[in-house]
Amino acid sequence: MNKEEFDIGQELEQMRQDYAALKERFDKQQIINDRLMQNAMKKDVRRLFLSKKMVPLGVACGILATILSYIQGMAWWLTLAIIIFSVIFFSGVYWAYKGVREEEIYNGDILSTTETLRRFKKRYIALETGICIYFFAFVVVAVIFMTSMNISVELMWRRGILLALLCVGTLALEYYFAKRLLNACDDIIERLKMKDE
Amino acid sequence: MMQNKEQVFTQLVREHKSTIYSVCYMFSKDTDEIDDLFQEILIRLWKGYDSFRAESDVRTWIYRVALNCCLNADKKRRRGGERVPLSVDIDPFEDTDDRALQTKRLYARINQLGLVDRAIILLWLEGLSYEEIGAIMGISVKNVSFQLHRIKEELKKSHL
Repeated sequence: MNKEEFDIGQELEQMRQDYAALKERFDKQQIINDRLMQNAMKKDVRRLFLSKKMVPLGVACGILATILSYIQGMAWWLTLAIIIFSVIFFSGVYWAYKGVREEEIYNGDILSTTETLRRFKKRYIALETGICIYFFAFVVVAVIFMTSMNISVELMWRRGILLALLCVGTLALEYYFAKRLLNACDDIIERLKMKDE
Repeated sequence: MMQNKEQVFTQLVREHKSTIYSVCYMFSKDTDEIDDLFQEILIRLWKGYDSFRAESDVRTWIYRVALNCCLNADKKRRRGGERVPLSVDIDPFEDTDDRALQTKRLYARINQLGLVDRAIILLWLEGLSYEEIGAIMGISVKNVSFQLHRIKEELKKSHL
């Protein structure tokens, strides 16, 4: 054993001793009080994911609201646009959340949990992008339809630009935060797969 | 029945409190963050308790949940909501006695590592086998050996 190996061996042994001492210190502490336990057992998990029960409920509400609106005289093209939007949105939500069970995700190993979170986030971003594009396209089409209603072209342009900016801004913010999370996930996955590949 | 489940869970958490707290400490920058992480882990453990019971090793499960929470919290940072103070008299970030200095030395060594490396070295310090570390991290035993070797090399380099 050369000097360098001896040193690192000693260093690691020192770390082990320090860690054992740290645990011993914490062992002597009460740490967990009753209120803390009650809080944990009664508190809902912060929803990282939308409840899957919300999807069929949302579909049902969407269909019902659209039918009622149509009966009450809503234009056919608007009804059609809402139906298409609902189909895109709810099938997208189903696709994004497929294979994700929040109650279990944290029980999995680090690699599979990180991969699941990464897949979910990527799909979620794709869904949001799709919705934004659809929404923008819908507004453009709606404006064209409204031309016949004597709304000034200048006003339409202003509203169109404002909506475009809103869509782009929302997406840019979402991409920015998602990028950070995806990069962190990539780092973890890359590190853990270093040898297995 | 529910009462019994709560009692068993409470007992389980009490038995492993120092493990959970140590993991939180190594992934936090201050005591408030330890509180947040500790509570998040407790909630996740409780919510996942039913699905865990089919599995075998409780220690492995606790590490999985704790490390997943810590790594995930690091991705998102800072959560809101109510924080219940922990009943702990020592402040590992502020105390200055000999044992606290020992703790700080360890913290400094581990914190120079990346998140994944920190998780692996923590499991190693806990005395877990390569198989157990592999099961928690989701990698092969061979990979655990490779990762540990690399981490030790990194520690060695930083020491020189």
